[in-house]
Amino acid sequence: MSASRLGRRLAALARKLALPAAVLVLWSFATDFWKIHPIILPALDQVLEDFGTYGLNGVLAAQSAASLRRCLLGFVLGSAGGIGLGIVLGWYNTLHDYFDVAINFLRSIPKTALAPLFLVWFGFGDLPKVLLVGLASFFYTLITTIEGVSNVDALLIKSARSMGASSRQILTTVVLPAAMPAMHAGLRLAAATSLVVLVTAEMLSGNDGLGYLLEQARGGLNMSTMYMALIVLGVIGFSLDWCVRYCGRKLMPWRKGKTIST
Amino acid sequence: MELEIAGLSKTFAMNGRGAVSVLDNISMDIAHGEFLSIIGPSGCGKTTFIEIIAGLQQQTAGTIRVDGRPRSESGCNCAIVFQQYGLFPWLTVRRNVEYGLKIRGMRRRRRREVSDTFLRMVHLDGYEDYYPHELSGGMQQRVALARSLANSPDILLLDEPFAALDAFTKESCQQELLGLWHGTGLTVVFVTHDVTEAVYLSDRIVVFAGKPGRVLDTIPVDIARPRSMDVRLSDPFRDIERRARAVLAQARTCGEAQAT
Ligand SMILES: Nc1ncnc2c1ncn2[C@@H]1O[C@H](COP(=O)(O)OP(=O)(O)OP(=O)(O)O)[C@@H](O)[C@H]1O
Ligand SMILES: [Mg+2]
Repeated sequence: MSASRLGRRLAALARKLALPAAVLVLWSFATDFWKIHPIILPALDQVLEDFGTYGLNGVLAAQSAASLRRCLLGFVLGSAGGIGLGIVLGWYNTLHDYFDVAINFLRSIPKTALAPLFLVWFGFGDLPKVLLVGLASFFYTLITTIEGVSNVDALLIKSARSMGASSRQILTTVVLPAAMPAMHAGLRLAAATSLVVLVTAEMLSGNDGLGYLLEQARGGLNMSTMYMALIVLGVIGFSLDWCVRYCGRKLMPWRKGKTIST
Repeated sequence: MELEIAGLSKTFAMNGRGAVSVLDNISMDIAHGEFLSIIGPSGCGKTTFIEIIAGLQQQTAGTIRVDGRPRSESGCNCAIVFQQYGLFPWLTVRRNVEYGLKIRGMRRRRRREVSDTFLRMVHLDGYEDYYPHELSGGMQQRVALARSLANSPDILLLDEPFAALDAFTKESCQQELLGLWHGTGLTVVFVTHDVTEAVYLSDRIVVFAGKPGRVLDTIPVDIARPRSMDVRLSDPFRDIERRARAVLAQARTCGEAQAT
């Protein structure tokens, strides 16, 4: 990497970090000089101290791991199912007709609203949480994959057909690559929603996970712990999205410029 | 291969907005190894016509026979270069050119030789690893041409393939196309808006009139081959060009007369 390129990268990084740094500075000012009540906004030091204690006694790692495990498991399984079924339904139009109403009805029910039901059905362990996350991921990827597969540019299909491609070859060499941006957009929605659904379920029941930690902190009016949990959730959500975006860039180097989904 | 087109018509149903007749009773024979151009006003059905020949659209009426057998049974190897290129955005230039070879199971090394040959022919050597969106319109058009030629077709259908090229590249591509076609028995149907190009390349020019598309006139081009670029300044060439322009002007007015 040449010096000027390194310089440009550092400058870009500095631009990206400027706003977060400003927020932290503002936070310190708010608590130290403007005396905002710690119930509204705890001191930054207090939150850092919590990071220290919970970090050292292993609670933070354990709770984060529990949440991350459920989130990833649900996200991966649900997305795999959604993309798989989406490809089938997008490709076979008549089959899609049979499922159309059911899919659109089921996906309209907010997954968080299903949480109470699932907790009754499946108890307090991982199962209901993973299922809820999986279901949310499933529907986001299903809908976008169906859209992507069934709306491939007709010219590309004609193009392949004129060179003698069979239906199966058209599916694998044209339709799937052409639908990848749509699937990727679905994955990003799914990743973001996974965390939402998971934290809600964890707050409602169970005895571990970041949602549980958050709910405990609320019970004890332990504001700094609450902020700590929120920050960790933010980091996890951000990392998840970054991973999905990174994979998208690696798998689709041919995508030009920026679109709404990237 | 020889093409016999008889009574070809195409009507599009417009989802409850009635139907439009796009091609009306078109008949023509195209000889084995002939270079035929089609000119006509925009929207007169040229693209529809060659897509039907390529088997990508179904005609409403009429027949197409290839070497005496119905098109669908003839197993003819028709290649088409689309007006909007139709390159796969997720494949590099080389992989686009090799697409047809790959789905037919050609070996990698052989594929590479073929793609090298045709990319050199369209002056795109050095761009093998570019993606289509990294190329100019004219370059994409040349990739599309190379991709069709790589499939070694018997019938080559070209839909305004040189429309996006600058004058110099266009002339060089015309030369390459003629060089490739000459003496091989490849049958070429070439759609263009450029009258000079049509006269320079063709054995025969068919002029379409629009709404619905039909054959207005057929103009033979009796100029000896091989043709140099200078032939365009000769009197016989100019005469044919003038005649083609006159028929094209007539095709425009009768299209408008029908539309209003
Ligand atoms: N799928 C379709 N449904 C309805 N009408 C269509 C369809 N495809 C083409 N047409 C109509 O058929 C007519 C001929 O279209 P076509 O693309 O064949 O014209 P063209 O001669 O190639 O024009 P250009 O020179 O502008 O490329 C147009 O009036 C167009 O509106
Ligand atoms: Mg056209």
